[in-house]
Amino acid sequence: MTRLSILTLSILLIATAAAAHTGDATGAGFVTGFMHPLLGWDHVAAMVAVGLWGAFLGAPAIWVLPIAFPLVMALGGALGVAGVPLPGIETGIALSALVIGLAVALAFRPPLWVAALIVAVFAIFHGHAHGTEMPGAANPLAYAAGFVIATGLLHLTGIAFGLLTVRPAGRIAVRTAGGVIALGGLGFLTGAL
Amino acid sequence: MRPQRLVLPLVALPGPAAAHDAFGDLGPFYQAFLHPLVDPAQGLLLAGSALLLARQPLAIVRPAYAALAAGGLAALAIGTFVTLPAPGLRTMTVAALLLALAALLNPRAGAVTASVLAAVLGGLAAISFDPVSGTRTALLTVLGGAVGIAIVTLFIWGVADWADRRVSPFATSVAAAWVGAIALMAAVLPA
Repeated sequence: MTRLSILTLSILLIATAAAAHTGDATGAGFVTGFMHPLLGWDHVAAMVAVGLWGAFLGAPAIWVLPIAFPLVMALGGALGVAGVPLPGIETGIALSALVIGLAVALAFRPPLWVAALIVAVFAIFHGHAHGTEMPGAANPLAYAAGFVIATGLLHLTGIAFGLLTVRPAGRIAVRTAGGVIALGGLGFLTGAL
Repeated sequence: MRPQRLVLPLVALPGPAAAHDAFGDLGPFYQAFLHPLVDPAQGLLLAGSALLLARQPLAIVRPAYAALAAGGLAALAIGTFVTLPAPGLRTMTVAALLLALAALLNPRAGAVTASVLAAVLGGLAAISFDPVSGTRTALLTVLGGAVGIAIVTLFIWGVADWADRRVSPFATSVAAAWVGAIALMAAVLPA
């Protein structure tokens, strides 16, 4: 009986070849592109902050920012695809979470064009980070579709949460969330996170 | 030692996953029907067309949608007799980008202009199908492709129209920005 148990255990422990993916963009398509913004906390924080800020500013910013962001992000992505170098990408991404998070926390209400400009500048950095990995994907178009849709859904998440601003307690919650995102951005910027 | 006691451990042994194809061999009709879902460039073009239609009044959408379906069917039918030049990825994505920008800017086209444009788009989407041989296979491919183009466009238009009415009047614009962003990045990919 003991010999049989040892044999059983040994058979269960036999290792077979692992045929897992490598995790890089090679061989990637829609799912990898979709997961790319979701697996980076700096991206998630900044995208949610864009939605929060749009909702906080109200119409028309609530829709102008989520429309402007993907289009300008695509310009940054195109630069990345074309191999045009952009300095300080990670710094720019961390700053986006810090600045937009602070704007929400401090209830900063600039003119619409200023808000759109701030968001657009940071969108270039996010797009470049995504776009650089795109040509290595097995299906670059599906990869692009994945990360644009994921980015858009993060904006919508921020907008949905930001709609709490219709209530006084909701405004506090949204501004607190902006503060948390700003702190996160500071952590990304200093390397603490 | 009783050999039957080895059966369970042997069954539980991990082995390499040999997954099946996403669709397998569904036959010519369903392969053509599902083509917009497995060819992102074609899907993107149809999405752009549907979003542009969603920004138009219903009186313009009716003839334009019919023209798009007819254009797709015509191009597929012609493609069974003549080898049409398949549009490259850049052609498809630039067209999708222009459609998305048009949907964002929302120009008011006349019914005739919109119908002609839609017919051309339906044809452009259709000629991205692979050529087929054999009468029955060709017929099923033409039917499946035409129905697929029509249904995918109708579905996206319907969702966009519903979202514009029920969620936000800017819903189609947001979706158009997504389509434009995807198309812009794909358009600069190395050929």
